[in-house]
Amino acid sequence: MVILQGQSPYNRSTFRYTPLLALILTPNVLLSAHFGKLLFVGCDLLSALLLFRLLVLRGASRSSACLCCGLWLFNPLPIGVSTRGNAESLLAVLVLSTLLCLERRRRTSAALLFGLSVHTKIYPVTYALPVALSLAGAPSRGRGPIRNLFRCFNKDLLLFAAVSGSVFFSLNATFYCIYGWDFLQESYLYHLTRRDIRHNFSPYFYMLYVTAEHRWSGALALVCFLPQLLLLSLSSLAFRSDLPFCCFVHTAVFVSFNKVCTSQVRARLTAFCRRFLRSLLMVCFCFSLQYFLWYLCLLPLVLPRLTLSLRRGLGLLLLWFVGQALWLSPAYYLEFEGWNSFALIWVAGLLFLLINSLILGQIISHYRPAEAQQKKTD
Amino acid sequence: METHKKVLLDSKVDLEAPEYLSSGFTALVFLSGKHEVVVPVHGRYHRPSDSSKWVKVDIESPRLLLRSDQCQTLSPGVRHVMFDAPCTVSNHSICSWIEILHLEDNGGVSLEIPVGDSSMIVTVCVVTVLTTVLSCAYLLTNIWKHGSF
Repeated sequence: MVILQGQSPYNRSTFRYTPLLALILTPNVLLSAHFGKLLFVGCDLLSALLLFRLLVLRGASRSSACLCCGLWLFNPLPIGVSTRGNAESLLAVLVLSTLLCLERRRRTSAALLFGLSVHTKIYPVTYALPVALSLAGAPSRGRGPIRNLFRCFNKDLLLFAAVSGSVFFSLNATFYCIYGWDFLQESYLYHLTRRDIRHNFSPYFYMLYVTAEHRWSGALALVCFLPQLLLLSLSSLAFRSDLPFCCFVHTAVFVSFNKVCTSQVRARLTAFCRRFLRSLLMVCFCFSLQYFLWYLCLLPLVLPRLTLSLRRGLGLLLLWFVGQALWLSPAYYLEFEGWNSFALIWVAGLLFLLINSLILGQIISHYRPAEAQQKKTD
Repeated sequence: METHKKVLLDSKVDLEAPEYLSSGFTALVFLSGKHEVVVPVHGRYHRPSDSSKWVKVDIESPRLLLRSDQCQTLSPGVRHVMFDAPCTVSNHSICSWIEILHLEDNGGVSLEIPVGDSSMIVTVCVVTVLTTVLSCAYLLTNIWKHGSF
């Protein structure tokens, strides 16, 4: 509505997205208040379709592809997020369509979509490394390092970088001209320099809270960043031949080791939940959904090549929910009842990290890439 | 605050900032026809303390303002002052208001907000870093074993 009046959408205090999103949602005012939610639900369905196409392209049978898509379509988590009006499914569509285009070798379209998704939310920029490594030529042993470097930066990679870079920068330049510094601040800088010390799933939460004003908090922030950096780099290198799997591992690592891992709907949640105690379930959903949705949309792509037995898989899933519940209980009592459960939240956060790492480790060790499967059938 | 249309804040409020980085603000609650209103309050994060688990926050008693143009008769014994404030919640114009002083009240409300324990700072840092390093090492081993380089 603010855009229709010709003002900046950043006048609303919690608008932290691209103005494109505000533009897309103008029919919310013109047509119906439910337009946005319908759009996001539509994006969910589109994501399921993209997942199906990708799965079939990677060699899954139609029935197993349907099953894996069902895991996304009928999952209450994405349904809950989209019907609440959160724009995560839009980003899932963009990321999945980028992967589909890359798989089909339509590199220009992929670059366009990639630039658009990074403009929408900053986190897909981490996929730049695996994408670059998968597009780069392989270094050969005979040549010197300089020649190898040139070989790596081949035509495909440069084209991709050029197209996505120009999309990203032209969109940013346009919106900067219209909305000024506000736009850069709210869309990007806020997320990069965010110092939210309130309770969240991150294992670093309590450490950052108690050291918030200490002189070594800067050094600690760096320490927090190192494991993430190491894991992201090594996993990009190790799995560059299987891009969807690489992106899944990337996102899972990014979310698990992040300094902040929370939902942005806190303020509304408080007023809402105070009145309706049964929304404890809503609390559970909203605390966790936003970040976990980022790798949840890639999980169906990983499943067909996973050799985990059903029992083990379900056991790991149960473990994940137990970890969530162990965190959510003291967090609920802290936020809504005013108990001092900080120590419990801290321990639960660390436990959740261990559980997430275990699950991811199991997924990595039980994943069979395409060549290994083909060798088996030959 | 955008959802509760009848409240007007006098400054932009950063919802995420801790207490020591934010300043107080005034909230104007417009009651039209109602005599009672319930205002939900959410506490900010305070500095961690090594002596106490809670910190006490006092919320000032509310002040009552009446529109002077709608208040024709005021008893002579009632102590009051004149005040300029927005006429309505949309803040288009300023009107003159009468503040009634010396109202009977319960002495204000105070909240007990839980705070972190800063005496455990070393333990927290060491255990957190160790756990992170452990998880990272486990994942790195897995990636090294099963990745193709």
